Amino acid sequence: MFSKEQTNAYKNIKAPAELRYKVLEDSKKEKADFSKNIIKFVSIAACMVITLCIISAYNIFSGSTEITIDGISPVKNSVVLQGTNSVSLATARTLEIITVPINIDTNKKTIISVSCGTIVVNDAQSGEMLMTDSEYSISKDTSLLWQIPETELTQSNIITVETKNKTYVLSLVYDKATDTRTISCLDK
Amino acid sequence: MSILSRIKTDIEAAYDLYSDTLYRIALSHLHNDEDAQDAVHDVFMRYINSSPALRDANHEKAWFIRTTVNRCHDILRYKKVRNHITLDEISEIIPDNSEKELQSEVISLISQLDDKYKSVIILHYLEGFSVKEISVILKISESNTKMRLARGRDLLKKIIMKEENDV
Repeated sequence: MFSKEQTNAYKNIKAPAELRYKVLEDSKKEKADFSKNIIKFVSIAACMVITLCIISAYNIFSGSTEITIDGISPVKNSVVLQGTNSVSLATARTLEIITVPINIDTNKKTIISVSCGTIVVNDAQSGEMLMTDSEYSISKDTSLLWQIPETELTQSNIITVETKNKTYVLSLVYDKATDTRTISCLDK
Repeated sequence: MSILSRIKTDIEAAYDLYSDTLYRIALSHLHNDEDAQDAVHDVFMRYINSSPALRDANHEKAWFIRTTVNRCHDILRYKKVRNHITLDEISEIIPDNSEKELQSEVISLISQLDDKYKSVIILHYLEGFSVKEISVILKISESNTKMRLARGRDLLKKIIMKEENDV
């Protein structure tokens, strides 16, 4: 195809000396840009990590939610309920209503829901009933009652207190042997 | 060794190893010293910026040649460089040396081939790569490489015969 002389002559074509100088000089500039970009990238990454840490710390340490029943936290220990209310019906039959007074100290959005019965919130000063429902949303310290008519009682009666970071599931159970009702947290 | 000094060593070593081959390939495609220098320059800047993951020396060589050929095609598309250039024109771009006449002949012959055949002919007959190596470099099948080589060879023979008849 090509003679040996032609091939050798072709192979003796060398890149000009000025090209070497230009490539190496420009490579230094590119490297400087490269290191600048790395510094910029690391700085942005560091800022993002710090911001995430601050947000996480804020969520973890600010505004924890505390639940108490008769001054005892059911999250740490099981709480034995002291008494129940009885309501006389017109049919002369007595309907027992289990009432669990719960205090929730919080300063962030908290949703309370129950599997049976209702949540009753009374005005602290007048005692007037403000609402009754199976789900209630609060964002400040609140005292409420969990009322369950005995006809609605099941083996597992659940009240759930849900915040953005954590969900507490409290279970109300009846112990036949001791004839007591206790409430405890399922996920400690 | 810091990253920057490693890059510096890499770029110098790579330049000394491949620059002549890349320049010859670029010159054969572009028939213009300035454009050929620009193409080689661009390839090395791309090497620095993209830091391609290269397994070994062969892979690195293939990357440099493939990137140069692709860059040449880009420049050709952009500048719409005409294919055939005369011996006199090519003589002007090749630096003075004892083999200038032979070098000009080769580049002038190559310039008359279509781009499709030019790359395989240069790599096989002038740079000495095997069919398998060319298929890896250009990312085309071996059968396609052989086909391009055969057609390129036929075209080149016709060109040479025509030039001999003209003389």
